[in-house]
Amino acid sequence: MGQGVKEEGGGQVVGGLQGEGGRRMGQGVKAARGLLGSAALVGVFIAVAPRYVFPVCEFEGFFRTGPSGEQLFMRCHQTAVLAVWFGALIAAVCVLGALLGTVAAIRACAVLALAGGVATIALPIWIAPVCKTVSMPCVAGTWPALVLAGALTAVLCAVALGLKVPQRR
Amino acid sequence: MGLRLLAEDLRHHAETTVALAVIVAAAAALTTFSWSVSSGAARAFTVGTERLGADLVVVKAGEGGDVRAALVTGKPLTAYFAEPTEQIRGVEGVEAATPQLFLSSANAWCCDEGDVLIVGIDPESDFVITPWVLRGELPVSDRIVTGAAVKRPVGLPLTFYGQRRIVAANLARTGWGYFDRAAFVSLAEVRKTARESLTRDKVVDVDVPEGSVSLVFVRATDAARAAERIRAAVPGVDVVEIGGLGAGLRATGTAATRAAAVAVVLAALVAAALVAAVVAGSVFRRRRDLALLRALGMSAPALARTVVAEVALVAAPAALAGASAGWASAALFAGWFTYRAQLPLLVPAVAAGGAMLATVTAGATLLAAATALVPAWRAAKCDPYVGLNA
Repeated sequence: MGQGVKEEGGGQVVGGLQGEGGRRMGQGVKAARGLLGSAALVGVFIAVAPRYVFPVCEFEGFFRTGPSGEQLFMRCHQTAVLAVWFGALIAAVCVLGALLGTVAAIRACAVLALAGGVATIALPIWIAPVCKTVSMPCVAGTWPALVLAGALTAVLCAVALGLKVPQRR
Repeated sequence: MGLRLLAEDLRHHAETTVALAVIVAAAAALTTFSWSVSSGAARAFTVGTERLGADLVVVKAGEGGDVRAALVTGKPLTAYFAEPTEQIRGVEGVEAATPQLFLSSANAWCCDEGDVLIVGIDPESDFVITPWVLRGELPVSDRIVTGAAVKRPVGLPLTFYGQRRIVAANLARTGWGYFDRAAFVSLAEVRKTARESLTRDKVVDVDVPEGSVSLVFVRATDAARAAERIRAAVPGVDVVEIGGLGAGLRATGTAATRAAAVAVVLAALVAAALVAAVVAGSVFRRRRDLALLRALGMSAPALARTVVAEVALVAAPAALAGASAGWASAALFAGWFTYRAQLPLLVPAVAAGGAMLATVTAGATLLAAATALVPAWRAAKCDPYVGLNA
């Protein structure tokens, strides 16, 4: 009997995402695939936001002046570069999970995308921090956008992971 | 039906549960975000104009259009002009006048933070900052006062253009860039910084003509008349009335409030329609189960109550989560509204924010439950025989 199999009201029921790996199961799987699809869209947003939606400083004409007067990228340059990778990975993993549609695939992809969401939250704060001053474009726009998108990804994947939909056999 | 059974039933119908939760959470988030922005704009307008305490701003001729951006976003006014403070003080109806000189810190190694608005104030005549700090905290010699967004605790040093100064006080948040992202330094020290930057190695040059200022704040008995008299008495200046600036900001705030109200109404209507559709679809799919309950003796009102209770059970936590997310989004994007959209914003703090969350959560839950009532009642009234044979 699978992990999610349990007795209820005299009949056997099988947990949706908690059931045997590799088996397609009704409503729970459909909902989880929908959630992963939504998370994939958020991943695409994470990848494009630092360039097109809430641009970081360099795309708004802000650069740092070095000791010899040379123009250097600001701190948020690395944030933007990593955000593209994080967003692309989240989107790819979520699309893969939604397309495969098996319980094991959805569970694995949801865990990976959840980790990606948490990493996206940490990206502008700890991993590759944005600039310091509040008025800079990366602090005013990119930072909150990445934190919110990361949180949304994590929530969507956590819900997809936590779905447990008993079905009568 | 007990709460545990209701929850179990919701877990059996994951699609419906997730769809309901997403709809209610999205509507609650949009409502709270709109509410936070509109009330935050109104609060910031009140706090900012009270804190400023001036009636007129005198700037170099042709620069009047930049005053709003300078005060709202803290963008420095770098069109310097010869200080006319004494002339302005001599104008009839002028109660007080104080000069200020703006610099912007450089994104370079010689400054701890780039893009900070450095405001040189005259501690003797100042009436903008002085009322909000203790006498011992006034920015003289190497002491500076910082805005809420310059995250440097009191007592720690802050270096601009190679000059190290100690933070003596932090101002409370206002939502205005002029106060929040500023470092207030004495006028003499700012002039000294500019002078020495030209001679020091590896410090970005600051070119400020000797004896010049960026603006003069004026307090007057009759702002309109005083403005006319200053224009006549002091050549080469623009005089901007804070009242007129406030009217412009108020108009922006009103537009934001209207947009927020439209967004809230649309969100409520769309959410109500979607909740009704989802619940109607759900009770249609479960018509045999519901008919069985009726056949076993459950009354129609009790069955309708069960369906509505299920919706409320999903809607309440979803609404709370969505409202919290909307509030957090408004707080996170407050800087974007102030610095990119030129709309001063003070997002409701814990007490007001808590009341807002409670109101939105209760409203969204009630709306979802009320919307579910119609399909629930129709399903409950269905004849058990018809339902079981469907």
